[in-house]
Amino acid sequence: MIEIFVHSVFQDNLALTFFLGICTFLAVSKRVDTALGLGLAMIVVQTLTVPINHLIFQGLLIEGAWAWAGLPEADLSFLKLMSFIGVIAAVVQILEMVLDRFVPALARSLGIYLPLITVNCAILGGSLFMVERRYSLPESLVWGLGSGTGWALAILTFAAIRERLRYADAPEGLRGLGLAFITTGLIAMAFGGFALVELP
Amino acid sequence: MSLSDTPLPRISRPWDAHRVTLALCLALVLPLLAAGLSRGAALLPPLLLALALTLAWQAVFARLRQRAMSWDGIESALVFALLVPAGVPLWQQGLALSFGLVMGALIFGARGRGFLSPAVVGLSFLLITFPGIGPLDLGGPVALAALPAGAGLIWLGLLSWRVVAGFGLGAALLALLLAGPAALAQGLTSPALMLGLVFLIGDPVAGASTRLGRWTYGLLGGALAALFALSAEATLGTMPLQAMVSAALLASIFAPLLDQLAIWQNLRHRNRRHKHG
Repeated sequence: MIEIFVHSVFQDNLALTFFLGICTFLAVSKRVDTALGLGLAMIVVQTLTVPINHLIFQGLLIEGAWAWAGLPEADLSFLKLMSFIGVIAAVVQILEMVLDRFVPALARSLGIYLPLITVNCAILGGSLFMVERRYSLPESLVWGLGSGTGWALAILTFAAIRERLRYADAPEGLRGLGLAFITTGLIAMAFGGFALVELP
Repeated sequence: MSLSDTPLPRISRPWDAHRVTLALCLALVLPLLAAGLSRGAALLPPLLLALALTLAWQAVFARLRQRAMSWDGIESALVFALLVPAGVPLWQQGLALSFGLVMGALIFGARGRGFLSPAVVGLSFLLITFPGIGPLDLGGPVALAALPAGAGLIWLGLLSWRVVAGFGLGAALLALLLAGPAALAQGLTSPALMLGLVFLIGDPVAGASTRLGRWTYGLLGGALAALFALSAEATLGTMPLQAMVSAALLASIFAPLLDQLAIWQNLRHRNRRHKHG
């Protein structure tokens, strides 16, 4: 369990190792406080959607899920992409309404980032990895929490570095996105250092 | 309180890039001499290669970008040559140092405009790209030579004592927690640990710059170095170079965020004071 968590935060970091959700990663990382909002939203949504998708996949889609109804050959797993996206959109929608009703301050500070997360490929990627690696329900909860945390950590460090790089004096052609891509590469190289750690 | 009551700030010649480079190079003299004693003439080719490459890259960038020639890469070159284990082919050293210089420093502009130490980036590149590089073959005397160098740099204000203290605390705590007191032994005579602390983690450009940030940066670097060393079945005394370099790179990556957290913390304190006072 601890291993899944540490791996999902560092070695298997969705943004830095699999380059998932890079569009949002590059676009919403100019300031640390907005990156913090997005990162928090990401952790919450990822922790909710991966276990829910796990339940749906195991209960409805996987081959043999309908055996109790006399349909042992039914294999609906081709529907997983569609249903996962549906679940993600629904969870984000519900979360937005719940936050707006009970914690309006948080809802305001998350603002646009909550709906934005629906289209973040790291979220869908997290659920697809859960299927591919055959995680159990508790494992997918930990994986959801860990991969969300890893993505949030990545965007936070990246945003802080970008704020510092305002003082950089880069060559003309590298300013802006060019430098952002190189910085992402350097951060990914550093996170790879965790490959050294062998957990007991 | 009138203006004359306030103590005048002690004004000395301001630090510029040249003076910082000069001070750091002077601090490197003693460790380099000690390394020369233990390695002999074998130290010379890497040293000359590193210096030549650095000057060449800086000249290329100065010329292409029409900036003044800067000399600060000399210090990175010396640190890199000092920390490369013997027996690494020169072309690998040259490739790695070039990567470190260009990607870690030159494309961000001059010294202090990037966020990483070129020596750290170069060494990481070397250790990741060419696995199986042997351990750092410098003896205890080289590690001890880092002591006066570090003390001098702290006195000059180029090395933060908070970073050093945080590093010691973080490394000791983690080693004690994970492996007991035996893992702590002889940390002071490990060349990778001592040189890495003074010249890689302690690099003023790559570290945090707020007070609280420096503490947390040092703590993080020390904890990571100890964690990496212990998971490679080493102790603080036999700190592998790879562990130290990875820890330095990761700590530098997190330094701007740690600074930001420190600033938020200070703001919260100040707001609370204003509310009460």
